[in-house]
Amino acid sequence: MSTALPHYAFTRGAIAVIPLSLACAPWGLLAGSMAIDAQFTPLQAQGLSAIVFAGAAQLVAIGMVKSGASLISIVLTTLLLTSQHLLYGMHMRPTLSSLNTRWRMSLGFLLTDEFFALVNHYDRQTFNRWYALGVGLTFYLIWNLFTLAGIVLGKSIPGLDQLGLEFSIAATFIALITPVVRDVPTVVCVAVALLCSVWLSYLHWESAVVVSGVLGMSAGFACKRLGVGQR
Amino acid sequence: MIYLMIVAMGLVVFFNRYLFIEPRLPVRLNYFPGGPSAQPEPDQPLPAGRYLRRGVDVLDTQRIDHRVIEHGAVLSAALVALIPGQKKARGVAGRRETSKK
Repeated sequence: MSTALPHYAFTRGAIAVIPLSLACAPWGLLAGSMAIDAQFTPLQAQGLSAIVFAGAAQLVAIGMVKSGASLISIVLTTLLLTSQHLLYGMHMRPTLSSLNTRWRMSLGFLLTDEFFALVNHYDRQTFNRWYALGVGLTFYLIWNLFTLAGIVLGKSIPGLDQLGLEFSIAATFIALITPVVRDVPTVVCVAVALLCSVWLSYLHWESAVVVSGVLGMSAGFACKRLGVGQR
Repeated sequence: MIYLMIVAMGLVVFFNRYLFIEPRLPVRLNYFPGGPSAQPEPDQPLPAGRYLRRGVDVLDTQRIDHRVIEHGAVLSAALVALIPGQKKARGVAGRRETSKK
């Protein structure tokens, strides 16, 4: 494990995550304003970001509350929507599982897409828990600050959810995915998922995203097994 | 209702995030990207031989039934661990398989 000074490593992590945090700003604003629009109280809206801390799941849940969905269906949807965290946890198990319970639970709670993008490439020797805490905690604080801003603005600016802020979700994920698309199987995976999601959405399939993801992963896996693009 | 939903969602998301970093979960995953083959660790049992030779994901079979690995289902390992009464059965099955080798 890296032994860099805690405050130095923490600051380095905090600085590293700031660009990604700013990219999520419109998303945080939307989470706050949409919650207010769905008749949540400010405390409930802030609590959603503080306790759940998962942008996509929050926005979908707010939409489901507005449409009168049951608690069970909201929880099950959340379980599926955030299931990529299972893979993140699996990937980071060698570095995180050796920490003590307090650190493990703290970093587990902070394990978001952005956290994973910045911390996943460290191995047991180079991993620094203070750096990871700097990344996760800074992102958590910024996310909650933007949610608070969304709550305030949602009360004063009507129709904030009509401004197209949700495109920041797509922009953020494009920024996260692009650096890891380095080999042919990954390119095939991304391309198949992209084309299928557009095509199936055009056909009005309700499960377009899930099916496209599975097809993309299958295509990438098949390429890897067939040795396509390997030297 | 809303508060209950927030707490339930929080628990579900935390479950997804935390499950595989819990060290007591009887799964160990090693990934060797691009490596020629995976090398067993000193305490690594060998029932996962097929997977060791392939150099892909290696699961610790010490505490789980090797049939889970034969099916290649990483997530199934987590489910097996959650089924009540599996702990004792896994230990017995694991020893039997090891002794056969």
